Amino acid sequence: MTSNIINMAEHMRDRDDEMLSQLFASEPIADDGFSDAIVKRIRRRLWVERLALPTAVVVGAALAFRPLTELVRVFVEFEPARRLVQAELPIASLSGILSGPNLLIGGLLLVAGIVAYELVED
Amino acid sequence: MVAQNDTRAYGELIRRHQSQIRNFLRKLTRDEALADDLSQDVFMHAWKKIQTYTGQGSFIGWLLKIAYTSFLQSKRKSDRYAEVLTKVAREDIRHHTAKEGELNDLEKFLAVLSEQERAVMILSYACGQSHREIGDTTGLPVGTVKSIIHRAKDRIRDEFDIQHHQHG
Repeated sequence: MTSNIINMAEHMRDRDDEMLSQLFASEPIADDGFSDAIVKRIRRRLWVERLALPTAVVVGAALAFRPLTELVRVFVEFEPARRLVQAELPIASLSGILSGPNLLIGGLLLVAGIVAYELVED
Repeated sequence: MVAQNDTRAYGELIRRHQSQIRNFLRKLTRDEALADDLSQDVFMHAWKKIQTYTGQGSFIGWLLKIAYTSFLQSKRKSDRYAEVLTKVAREDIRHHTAKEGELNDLEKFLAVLSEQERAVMILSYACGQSHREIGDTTGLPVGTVKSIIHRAKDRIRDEFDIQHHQHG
């Protein structure tokens, strides 16, 4: 009830209101490619967002590849660790698994998996 | 309303509302290029936040709120806006009689209003928002909105020596 009275009061317009409404009225602005430009911008942004994670993984893997292999090599050659691992696993097979090509293939599989997951999710 | 990543549907929404948003910002900034840049930002921001639109209130009201917030933020940040203000001040709409003939009535009216009064008046008379909707858009209480409109009308009346006419 109260809100109805408020609305009625709001709609009681005087001549000033009418004059101001006429004064503020303006022709609609033609779209002229405005909305298309925004949609294009949004689509571009979506692509960038989709590619950001896989690209970051690839770049990160490429940068980290050498230090990581070095770290693995140092670990494998570290005597106490070698003894510890030898008790469970022959060192030859461990160093075989952790060899450069295998790490690279593993990294690529990881990236492919992430990209596939992103595509499936979309 | 717009499924996530449905850019085609969102494009249709932009087509439907771009005129009102651009008109609002053009009147507020008094700079077409700046207003159109801001309008683009408004629709980009709205796209990001579309999931937060609950359906309470009109969609255009929600967009106008984003537009007003974007305007306030850009005003704080942008040197460009400061340049526009300086230019407007230099031209001093009311006192430069040489320019007076070139300016339309609306520009003259808006020039005598403070920024807040201008925003409220544009939302009321150009965008047709109710007092409550203006309150939502600007974050002002309804009572304050009413008094701003009343005060703005008085100022316009005084500045332009308009006779007060009341129905009834």
